[in-house]
Amino acid sequence: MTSRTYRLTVEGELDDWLEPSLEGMTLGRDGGNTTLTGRLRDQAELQGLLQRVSNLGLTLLELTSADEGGGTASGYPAAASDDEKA
Amino acid sequence: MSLPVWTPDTLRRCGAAAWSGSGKIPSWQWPLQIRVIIGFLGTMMDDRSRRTATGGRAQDDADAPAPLAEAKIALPGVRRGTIDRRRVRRLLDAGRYASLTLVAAPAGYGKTTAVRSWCATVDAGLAWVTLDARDNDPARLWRYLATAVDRVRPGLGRGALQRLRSAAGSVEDAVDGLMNGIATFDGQLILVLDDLQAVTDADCLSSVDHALASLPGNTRVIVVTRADPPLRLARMRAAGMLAELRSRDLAFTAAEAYELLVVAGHVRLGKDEVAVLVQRTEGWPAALVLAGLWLQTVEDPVSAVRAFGGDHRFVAAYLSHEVFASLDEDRRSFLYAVAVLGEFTAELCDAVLDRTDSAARIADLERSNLFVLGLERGGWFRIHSMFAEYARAQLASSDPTLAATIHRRAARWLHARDLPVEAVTHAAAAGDHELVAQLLAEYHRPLLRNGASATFLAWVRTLPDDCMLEHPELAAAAAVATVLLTGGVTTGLRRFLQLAQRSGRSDPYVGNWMLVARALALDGGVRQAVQDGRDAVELAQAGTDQALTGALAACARALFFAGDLDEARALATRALEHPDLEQRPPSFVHAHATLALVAVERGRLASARSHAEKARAVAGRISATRSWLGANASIAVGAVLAAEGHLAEAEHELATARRLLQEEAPDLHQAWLHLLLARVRVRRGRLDEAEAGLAAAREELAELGDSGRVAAIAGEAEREFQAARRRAASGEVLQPPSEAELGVLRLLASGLSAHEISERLFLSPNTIRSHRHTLYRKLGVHSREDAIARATVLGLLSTPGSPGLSAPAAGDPPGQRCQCRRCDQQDLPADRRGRA
Repeated sequence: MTSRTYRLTVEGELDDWLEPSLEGMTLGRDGGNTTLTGRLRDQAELQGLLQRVSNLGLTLLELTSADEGGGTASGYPAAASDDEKA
Repeated sequence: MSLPVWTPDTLRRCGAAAWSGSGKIPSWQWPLQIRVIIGFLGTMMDDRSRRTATGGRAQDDADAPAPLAEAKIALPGVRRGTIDRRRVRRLLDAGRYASLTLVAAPAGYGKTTAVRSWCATVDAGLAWVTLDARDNDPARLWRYLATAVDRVRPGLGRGALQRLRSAAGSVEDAVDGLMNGIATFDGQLILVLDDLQAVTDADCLSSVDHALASLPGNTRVIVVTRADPPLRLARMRAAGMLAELRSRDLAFTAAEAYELLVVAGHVRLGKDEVAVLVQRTEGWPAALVLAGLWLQTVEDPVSAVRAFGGDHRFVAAYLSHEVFASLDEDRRSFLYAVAVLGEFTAELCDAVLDRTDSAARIADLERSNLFVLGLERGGWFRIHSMFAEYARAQLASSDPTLAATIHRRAARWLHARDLPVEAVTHAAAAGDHELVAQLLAEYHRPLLRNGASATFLAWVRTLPDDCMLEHPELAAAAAVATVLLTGGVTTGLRRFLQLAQRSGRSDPYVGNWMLVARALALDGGVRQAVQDGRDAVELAQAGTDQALTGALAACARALFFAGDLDEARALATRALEHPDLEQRPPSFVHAHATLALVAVERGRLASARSHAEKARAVAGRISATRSWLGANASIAVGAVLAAEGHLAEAEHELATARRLLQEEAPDLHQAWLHLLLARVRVRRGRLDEAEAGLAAAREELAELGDSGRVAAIAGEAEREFQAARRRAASGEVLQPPSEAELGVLRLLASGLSAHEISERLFLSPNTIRSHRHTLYRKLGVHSREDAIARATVLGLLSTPGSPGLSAPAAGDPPGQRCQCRRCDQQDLPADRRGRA
């Protein structure tokens, strides 16, 4: 099981003081919502984070793996993602 | 009655005495509280000294829960400031004809409050259990449920509790016992499972399903959860047996919010502002309660609400931050501390926070509606989980180290009260490796004995090497736990054995565990395993004999693999005769499984079946069915089934066992299981799969030096396979079966009895028996299983309409395929068709 970078989008703007309790996830703004981005070692860590999101009463809108389609580490050609951006 | 003075120190001493079994302090001198705690822990503990010292007395105590268990089964109090929500109450009333009511909504939807308030209005017996992640163990779960039911009327849960204590009882038996007990109750009973989302273990959930299926008519189960549980909900919904309350139903309406904030909360707001709040919070109850607390502290609530309405911050974070900011320093720090603890008593808070006024502080938080809830028994309090989450987050950002200190102190306090799982949980939360190691060093024996290998290993794996070297007994115990859990040779197992070895202490206890682990793992050959097993037995006999049953069971196992069945049987029997056996379920499972396997070899099937069933029942009771220990029970059951001719079930058991074995190196168990499966598959006529299994076994065996009788089994399996292959290749049958006979054969293959087949085909049972007899003669076989195997090999069963049976291979003789095709053209045998 390899680690992956995940990005969760939750509803509403989350206060920065919550960041230390979100175990290494970086908070970001996305419209009126908040993104949590970070590298998780395995599925168990992901489930733990989802549990945390549920404990805080957050509404999960989206969950994506940011590595999909080839991060630099995976060795996929970077051109593909550049094309998408263009 | 005057009780002796008890301090944490005397508690610890008493506890230690009980653990070591040395019993220096006579148990009748122990303070009552200790007896109650130890009594409840029951099978959790090495209570030999207690049993001999107090005789039957201990059995009575075993029904009395420890203080923390009280918190699990105590009714939550009705929180101050809650309003009577008639709408929600009516929804719960409406579910009275359903056996299950599911109250499913995210955190902070007032689920517990709604159910608790409703229960107060109903004339029924009420059993309430609040679950958490430590309850992922069927025996523990049902001990709480049965105790809670027993509180409704003493005696209702007694049968279940007795079955849970017996080493030979299964959890399902206990569930049935509880249902029988409840059925004798003359009123209505409500059983509430609060926070069921914390229970994820499949065995636990299937035991709940089992209970729901056999629920007496006077009982209603209410499940309170954040996530829909994987129970048979769809089936119950379809049968009209399920009532549901979801977030939509629990959300506050504008009228309810007005009652909460303005009428009950005395916040000066108009209907418009309340509407803004409801819209901004989407009626989320926790957010509205927080809003009420916050608005009570502001000068101008109306403009505060307006500003809040235009803000985009996440409501719970925004509001809890405002509430924390409104508290004075002392209250805030106390609130943060209890949020870290989660569940607490005034005494625990005093000890952890080094103060003496915790009782008053807790009362103050409760009075201020700060989400602190008293339980109706035992002096325990709980803080609302979501509010606690925000409080902990605030603490983490203001004082990152304080939470660890609180956890560490709580671990010490719980340790002093001999609550092992709770103490280690707090030590692990503190990230204090040394404390985790110390506690585990003390508690690992009862944890392992009761099937908590997975929990124990999860904790041990967090410990670094140098910490393990300080505690060689942990490394050795972890090796045993790994073997019980995964069976195979893994890097984890080898690491633990090396660490135990490296520590260099010639502690007989450590040596014993290491020998037991090596004997069970068969890593290093069968002769070595037998030698390790014998050494373990000798060492245990010379020493305290603490490890004797484990050593005997492990040695018996190794002897079985060496082919010395007589001695294997003798040692396994000795293990079962040991007076400590009740306290050692893993040894019980191993010994019975070994005896079952030996009895199968000797052709004594009744005895084999009895041993295999006992092994299976105990593996189930300690929730070890999905570990290698449980797999051993499956193998024993599978071997018995195979010997009895129930080949399909045997294959299922053995295949299940093989999935449970995890290995990272060539492994004798793996080869053995491949061979057991291959032999069953040969008999079922599934030659391709059997051949693949034999090849896999050969590959494993080639890398292993000393394989004991597994090498001989491989030879036998190979011969059986070649014989079956020759018969298949010859393709001959003495005489081709008629179409009518083939029709019967297909139904025989689907597992129907002669009687059922006769009903299916509208023929008399005698005609079916006559067809069957002729069929056996033509195929040259003597049993149903052999007939099916033979027919499978010959492709006689292959019809497109019979799922699960393989299509005829391309190389089959054309004559047979032709015959099959004719069979395919008809749904019924020819004689039946003629009559239709």
